[in-house]
Amino acid sequence: MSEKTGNGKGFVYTIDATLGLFLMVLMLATVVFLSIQAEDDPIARVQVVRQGKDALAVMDETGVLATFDSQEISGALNSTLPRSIGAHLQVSTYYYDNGQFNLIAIQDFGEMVPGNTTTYGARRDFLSSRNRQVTNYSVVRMTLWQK
Amino acid sequence: MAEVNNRMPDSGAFGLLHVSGGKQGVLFTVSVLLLSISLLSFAIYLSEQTAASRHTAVSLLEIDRTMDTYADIENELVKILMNSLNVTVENSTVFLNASLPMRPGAEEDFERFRLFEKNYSDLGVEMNLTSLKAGSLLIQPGEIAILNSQSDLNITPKDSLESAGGVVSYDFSLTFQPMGADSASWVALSDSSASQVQVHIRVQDASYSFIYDTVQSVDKYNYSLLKITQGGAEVGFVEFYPPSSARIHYGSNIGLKASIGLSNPVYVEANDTISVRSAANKTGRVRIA
Repeated sequence: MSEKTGNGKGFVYTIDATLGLFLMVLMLATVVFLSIQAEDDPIARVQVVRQGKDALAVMDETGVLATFDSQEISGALNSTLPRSIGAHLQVSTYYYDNGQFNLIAIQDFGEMVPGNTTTYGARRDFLSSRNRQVTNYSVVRMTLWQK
Repeated sequence: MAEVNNRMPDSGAFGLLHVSGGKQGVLFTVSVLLLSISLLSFAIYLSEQTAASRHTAVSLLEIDRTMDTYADIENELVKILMNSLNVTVENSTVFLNASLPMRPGAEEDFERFRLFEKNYSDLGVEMNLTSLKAGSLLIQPGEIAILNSQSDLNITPKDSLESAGGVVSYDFSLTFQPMGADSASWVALSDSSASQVQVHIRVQDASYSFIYDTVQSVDKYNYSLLKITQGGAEVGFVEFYPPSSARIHYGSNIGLKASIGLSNPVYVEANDTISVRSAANKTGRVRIA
């Protein structure tokens, strides 16, 4: 690259090219950085999580969660969440016996979580009653993602 | 981009360097450098903004998580209570619907839920449910206490204008078991004062073989008593005593529908607290209706 003879044009060319390359890389890096920033909006994450929590609250208040029915829960998810959001539910149910809580079931509902995507989580605890007596204690964990 | 100079090397492929006396190359180099500095500064500024925004989002999510956990726990506690005592509020009237005495399992349900949250919650949850376990509530503002025991339901306002002064009416409907009551009458009645509460009491047995219905004004600051009997023996009574208080006493299981009319809009809470602790903390009384 460099030229040792004459007036040192080659040296200047080399320095010039290096500096130019540096600027080009800097420009490219900035453009890539700005694009990523534009896509990764933290407030959008809050929105997704809130939508998930709202959906859980609706399903709890309407008694859908306590049915543990796959079709009913999937239907409620489809009707409460925007189409651009996917959701998977895992419900862990406990029964109180002999002074302790025993895990009696883990059930999965909704869509399968895609492998390569950013996911968000929401949780809600709910009770199931029979004859006005609390029978089961459940924890529902919701995984959400943007389709 | 390049500027040709006969004595010195030209400005190179990008025209960024220029060692000659020519000004164009220098200006170009300086402007490109300035552009790159501006670009870098802008990127740094934006990065800081994004970091701040992310920090805000994380804080918001943490607050949301705490508030949601609190609301969720409060909601489930209300559900447990509603299994025994249904409480609703419409503007300035509180409605109660219950089978008395309260279901014996209610206390256990509250305690188990407290243990469940303590053991399985992702956040630090603490609950003091002494009042809810006893089915005791507060009508706010004014702290009018609704107290439940095994044979009484007491509605006790404080002796203040806001509390006792705000009670406008009582409406009680007591349903005894079939053939559980056959007579009701006022044994003491004070209705002479200007400070009065409008009282509507309906007493019946579940088979409707006996129905007693009375509408009466009673003195807020004096004593009145409606006695309920079966075959001459007392099976219950409704008592009004100062200040604006009411007591429903029952010897055996009864169904009670009650409404308490007040002069201003009210809400009902339990004199119990829930604390949810994470990066954001929330502590408050359990809001019922």
